[in-house]
Amino acid sequence: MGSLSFLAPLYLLGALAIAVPLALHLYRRRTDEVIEFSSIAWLQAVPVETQQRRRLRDWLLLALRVAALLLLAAAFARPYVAAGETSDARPVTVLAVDASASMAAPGVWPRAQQEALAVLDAMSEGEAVALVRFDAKATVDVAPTTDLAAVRRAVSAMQPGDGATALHAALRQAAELIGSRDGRLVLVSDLQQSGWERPLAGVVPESVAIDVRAIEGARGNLAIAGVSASSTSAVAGQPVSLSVSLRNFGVAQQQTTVTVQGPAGTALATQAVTVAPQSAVAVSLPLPSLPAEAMVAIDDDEGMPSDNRMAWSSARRDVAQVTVLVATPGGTDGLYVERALEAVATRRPLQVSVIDGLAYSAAPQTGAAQSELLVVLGSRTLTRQGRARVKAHVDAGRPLLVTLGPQIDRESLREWLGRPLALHPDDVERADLGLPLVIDDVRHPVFRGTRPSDATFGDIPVARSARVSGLDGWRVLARVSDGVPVLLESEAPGARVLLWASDFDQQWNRFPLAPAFVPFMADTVAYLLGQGMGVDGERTASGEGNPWPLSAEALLAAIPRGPRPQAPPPEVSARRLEAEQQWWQAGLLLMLTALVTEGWVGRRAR
Amino acid sequence: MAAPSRFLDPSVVARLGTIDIKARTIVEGFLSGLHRSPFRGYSVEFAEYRPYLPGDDLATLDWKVFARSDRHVVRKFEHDTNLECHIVLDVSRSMSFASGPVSKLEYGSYVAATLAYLMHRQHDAVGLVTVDDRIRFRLPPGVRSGHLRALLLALERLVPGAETRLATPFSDLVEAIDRRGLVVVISDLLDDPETVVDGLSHFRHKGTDVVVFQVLDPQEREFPFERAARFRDMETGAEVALVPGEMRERYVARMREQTEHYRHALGRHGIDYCLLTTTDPLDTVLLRYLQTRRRIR
Repeated sequence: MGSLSFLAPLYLLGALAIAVPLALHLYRRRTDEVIEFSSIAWLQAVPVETQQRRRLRDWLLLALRVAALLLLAAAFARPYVAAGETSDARPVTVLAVDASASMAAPGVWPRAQQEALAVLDAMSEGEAVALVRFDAKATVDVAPTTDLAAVRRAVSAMQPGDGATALHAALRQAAELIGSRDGRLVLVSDLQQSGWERPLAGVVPESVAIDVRAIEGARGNLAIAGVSASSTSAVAGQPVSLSVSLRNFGVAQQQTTVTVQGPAGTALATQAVTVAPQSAVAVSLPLPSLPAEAMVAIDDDEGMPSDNRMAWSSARRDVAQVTVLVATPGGTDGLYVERALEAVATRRPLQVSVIDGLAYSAAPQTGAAQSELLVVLGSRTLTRQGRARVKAHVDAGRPLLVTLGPQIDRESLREWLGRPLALHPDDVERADLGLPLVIDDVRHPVFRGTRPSDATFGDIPVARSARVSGLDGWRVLARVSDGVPVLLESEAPGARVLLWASDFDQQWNRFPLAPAFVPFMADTVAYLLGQGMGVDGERTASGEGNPWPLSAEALLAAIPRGPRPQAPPPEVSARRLEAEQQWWQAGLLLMLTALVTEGWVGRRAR
Repeated sequence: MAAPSRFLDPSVVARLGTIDIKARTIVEGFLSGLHRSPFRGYSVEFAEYRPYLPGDDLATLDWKVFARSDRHVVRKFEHDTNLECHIVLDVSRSMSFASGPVSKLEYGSYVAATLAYLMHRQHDAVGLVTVDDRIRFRLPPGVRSGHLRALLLALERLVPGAETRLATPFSDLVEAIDRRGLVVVISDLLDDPETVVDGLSHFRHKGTDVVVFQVLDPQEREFPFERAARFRDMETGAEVALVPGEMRERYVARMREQTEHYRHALGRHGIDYCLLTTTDPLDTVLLRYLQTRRRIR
């Protein structure tokens, strides 16, 4: 049982103000006028208020006034109910249930619910348990409680949504709930590979036992990966075709029917198609005219239902401005990046402009200088004003992609990068063509279009790269096979900043010539611009469609562990409890109610 | 010398000395203002002589006849055959209410003294009965000057009594009166009206004439209070807290209903009713009495 405490108990001294209404009440009682009258028989015959009733009303008024003052003082003292020592320190089991779209595959969700209920059945009465539902984000459905029946009801009422899986979100939420006490995390999930993104740091304390209950997910899944019009110049009323990209994540060939429905639900086009296992196919469906909106659907009885339909709209999206900053005007610098982005722009609303440092420095505040994404391939010709503009770009929260090739002025890098970075003066040079790339974080969004199984990155030799000597605040996404980091992402809050420690102009590596370059640039641009970039008919969380799971053992091995967090100081706990409970608001509300009632009663007395 | 009518103002009378001075001043002032009054000539007209009998008042002995004939005869005046009057004064605690210089009890005592003086002057036998919930004091009717002094002294020494419950004293008084006469009731009548009317009707059944003077304070009639206050009953001590402004209209209406009820109910029994306020001039009382006196002569 918790006890009532106050964050600012000195304000309770304000309760002494009740002496004022008390004194007034008693003073008024003494000076109340009494008139000797010959007979009050007729006054009682038409009573307005008897003495007894008035006395009762006076006491009611006094009580309301005193209550209002007490509530005001209590509200200022910021009350909160502190949990008892035993309840706060009691071990807790966090039951985290995956409610992502993949769990909606036939038969999966009932198994997950059954497993979750089995976990609860195995617990004994009095044990504390919390229920966390997660997909792309984690939500606490039931805060730590010993009411197992309530948790069972919540599990039974839970339904899967259409979000992607983010196992790390569940880990973070569970760790936050467990805090510094002992605890156990029971993870009920289909353990999609796509849902695992290694957290930046060890979020789960070593003291927390993790129990992974793997639920068998869909064996295969046929998904609509994207829908686009065949011609960007198509206008309403003219013949056009919709290109529908299908992807088969299963190990067996799948046959399906693609249907395009108009706004009224009428079928505009239908086509049967066969998709080979582990492959994608594009289907073109001719339409008599360009519809304003359409719904594309496929038949997939075994996979996830959420990716069997996709809405498409002909409405144009805002065009994202991408500026590629090079050192030399009119040269070939930035050519590969420009071509790759132009290829991306055929399917995404991008406007790419290549500009040299001098022109960028002198450009007006609009246009290139106000681009949403800045790709810095060369900085040697940037003036001080230009460097300030790059810095302002990052400070404004806009994303930045920087290469550390030969055209980068490393002396001024710190001035405009906006992130701390320690560079070794000597580059790493490798013999012959160099050594291949190795991806550290295969689940990172910039690699979604190029799976490791494709082995595309293994064919990219890197002959020379800058040596980043300090990695504090940076996360390594890819290395050269000799271990030297080559692709890094800043962990600092604010703008997303990616650093490629080589070049994109085929001087120090062969990456621009690799087939993975364009998909990499497309994913990188999409990642840096955020999911709201507005790609027509393309599923941004495409990884959710892939049902291939991790093993429980692999996941357990991959979860980074950290030390047990220290219990927050009492004053911090008190402030947190008070902020969560916010009883002062109830106190003020009650005080206002008391004052309104006092006014009403007092007005009737006059 | 001040105008006689001035001494009919109760507030002026209150500043005079003893009650007999007040009574004499009022009556003399009143009578001196009666020009060609139809009431002149009462009380002192000679009727006959008769032999003196032991016990007769020596004042009535005709010394001139004794000097001439050496016989003791007493003069028999017409007034000796006049009526016997009981002045019934309510001395209940509510009568002590006063919003001005004169309380209802004081005003009632002036009325009683004035009437007694006038009656005595007219050689009517006058007595005094003070009542509240029972008969507190009774002075049987008499005509001697010493009797008048005793009556006035009794009025001088009045103290408020208990609650107003007139039924019992009225009943007792009806039993005590053994000859027809006049009963003058001076009271605020703050009692159950039906009980009061019923008690007074018994006098009429016995052939006794009754005049009722209901004495009220101006505040009792107008209820001019403004501020919310507790009102304490002077007789019972009970209290009621109220806002006068919200109920003044209803109170005044009820008071008017009550006085009208007395007027009509008593009138049905042949009882004269006169409503007085403690600020009313006292000649009203005398005029009303004389009207009644002439009717019952």
